[in-house]
Amino acid sequence: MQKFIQKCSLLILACPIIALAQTGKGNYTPIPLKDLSTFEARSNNWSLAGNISTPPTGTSKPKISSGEGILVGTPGNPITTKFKAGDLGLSLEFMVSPGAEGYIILPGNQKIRISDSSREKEPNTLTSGYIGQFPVQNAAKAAGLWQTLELAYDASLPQIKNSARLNYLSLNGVTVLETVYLPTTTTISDAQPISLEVTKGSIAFRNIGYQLLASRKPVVLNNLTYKVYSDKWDSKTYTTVAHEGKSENFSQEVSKGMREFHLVYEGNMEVNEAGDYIFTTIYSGPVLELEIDGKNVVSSGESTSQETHMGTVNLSQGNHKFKVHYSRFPWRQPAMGLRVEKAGIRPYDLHVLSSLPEPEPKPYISVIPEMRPEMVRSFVFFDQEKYKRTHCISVGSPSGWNYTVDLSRGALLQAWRGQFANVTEMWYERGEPQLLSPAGLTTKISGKSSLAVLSNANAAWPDSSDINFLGYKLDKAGNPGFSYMVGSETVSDKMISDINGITRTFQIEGTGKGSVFSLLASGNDIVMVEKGLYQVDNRYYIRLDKKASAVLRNSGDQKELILPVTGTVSYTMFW
Amino acid sequence: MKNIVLTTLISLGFVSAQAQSRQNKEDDFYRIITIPIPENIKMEVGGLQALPDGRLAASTRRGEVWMIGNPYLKGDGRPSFSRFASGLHEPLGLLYRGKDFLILSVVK
Repeated sequence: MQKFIQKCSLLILACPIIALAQTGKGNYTPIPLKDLSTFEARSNNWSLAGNISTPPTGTSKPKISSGEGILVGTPGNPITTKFKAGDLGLSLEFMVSPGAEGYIILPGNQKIRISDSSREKEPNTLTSGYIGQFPVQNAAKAAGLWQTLELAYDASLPQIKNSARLNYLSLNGVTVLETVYLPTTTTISDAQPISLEVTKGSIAFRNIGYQLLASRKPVVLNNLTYKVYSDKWDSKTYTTVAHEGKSENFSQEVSKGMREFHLVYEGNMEVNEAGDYIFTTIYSGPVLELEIDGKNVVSSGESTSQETHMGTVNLSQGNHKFKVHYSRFPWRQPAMGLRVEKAGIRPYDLHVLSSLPEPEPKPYISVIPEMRPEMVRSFVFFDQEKYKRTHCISVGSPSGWNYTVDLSRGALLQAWRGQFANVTEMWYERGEPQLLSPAGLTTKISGKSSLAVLSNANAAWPDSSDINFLGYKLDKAGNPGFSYMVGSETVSDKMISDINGITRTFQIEGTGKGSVFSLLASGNDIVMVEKGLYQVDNRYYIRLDKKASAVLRNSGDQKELILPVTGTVSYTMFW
Repeated sequence: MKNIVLTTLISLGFVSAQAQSRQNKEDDFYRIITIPIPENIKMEVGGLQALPDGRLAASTRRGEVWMIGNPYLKGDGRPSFSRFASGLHEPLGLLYRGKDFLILSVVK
């Protein structure tokens, strides 16, 4: 019976689809958190929970409800996984309690620090994500919010002895460390487990997934034949064969320097392991299509070799026919690359190195507020909407809290903490997209107008209320105060950033008729942590005066937090 | 006879020159890539040192020492710049000694 249970749990470990506790993100194998059997030698400072919540500040213990899916640690011994790896990719979510500190220990005893460090102005050894070098920016969220961490790590490098390399570490979607070489005492040759350690407070983990990066090559291309057609580079059909032949390698160089051509490769793809494969194409040209067994896997249009395109296909063991069609831009050097990856192996190239020359580096133009707030007018793409928001102003403050307002609707779109703006798409060469992107830890606020006239507290919030932008004035410190006409009232909206967050103040000028409301937050789940403090999903906190009459209400399947605006009202956002 | 042989050799030479449809450039063998530097940094580099943790330290004529992270543009191809020191007197020589840097100033 015990052997049967052992076999079943091994099966559950090996088949992520059966483990219903959590689904693997992307290509990661999840570590199920149904019980502590996937970890070695448990000590009693680690336990499982179903739900955990903690306020962002204070000393109260986190509220834990029993269940499974969340691993909670308190100070004590580290917990070690049963799976072992050398080179790996890791993805997990964690939540810290106020003042908590802990480490993720990678093979080779390399410790990545995670802590409640969202208030640190400059990143240093105490900031989340520190390992060997300071993180590029402080992308840590406040205590009580779930944060995501993703990293790729090589425990040993073939050419360098006694050195490991952290390829990248991304905290909450912001890449904070890249290509950091870490000294180790010995060269690590065997696989080692990873550990989680808590030295202060409590840290909760969930959705832990890993990628083993073995250096096997299960897909091999052979019997390659090619045909080079001399039709125009942008023609949809190709018929005139210029030359053809067999090829040892997969490369666009068989076109022998022709300015306009269509290259079609056909051959055999030998697959040694069945499974889901992700093919990535990198090329410079108007088209590259990959077909396996007659079915389209990746097909994309105009691209440069600075971008990648991916497609997934499930391949059985054995031989498969594949076909690649590529064309180049006549005014650019040809480049064609094909990469393959699978869960458990390191991605590798199927093309020859000379087929994909190193692309030009991506330019990066930024705006940095030095002493006074900087304002940039631009277009902004908000939340996968189809059209750009065209009347946007983004304000960056030296204190590090920045925001974007859509002036045509009076909507506070997004706010972020850290580096101000990436304006490459505005001022690089022709700058046709005119898009500004936030360069720090971004939190989406709402695409709807921030102010509206409602008949009562239960009326639906309009996407775009009867709001007119009247202009803005700068105060002594350089902060803009926006003026809007909402219905028949004039309201001023001022946002000031300081070390605690963004404080927003609304003021009705003149006598109000008392029907203006402001939308503080809109999200799937808005929870009142304590009187005057609300948590919006895992995005941000709102702090209000305890006596303010904010209304938390449902709106379809979302929740909204609105506040009536009379006289002067203000609230603070932080994360 | 000699003329015929000479003409044949020269015309063979021309034919083979045209069959090689593209001249090889240095770029095909030794690719030189300029690291994209932010506009507000004046990177008039005097000394360069590659650190064992992967960063590149550069001392500039403007009196600064900058640490460039991810200088080989791996991953998403974005280097990071952080100023290590400023206010120096035209440091054009730089040596990494493990725990500190040694700067050689322009001495007049």
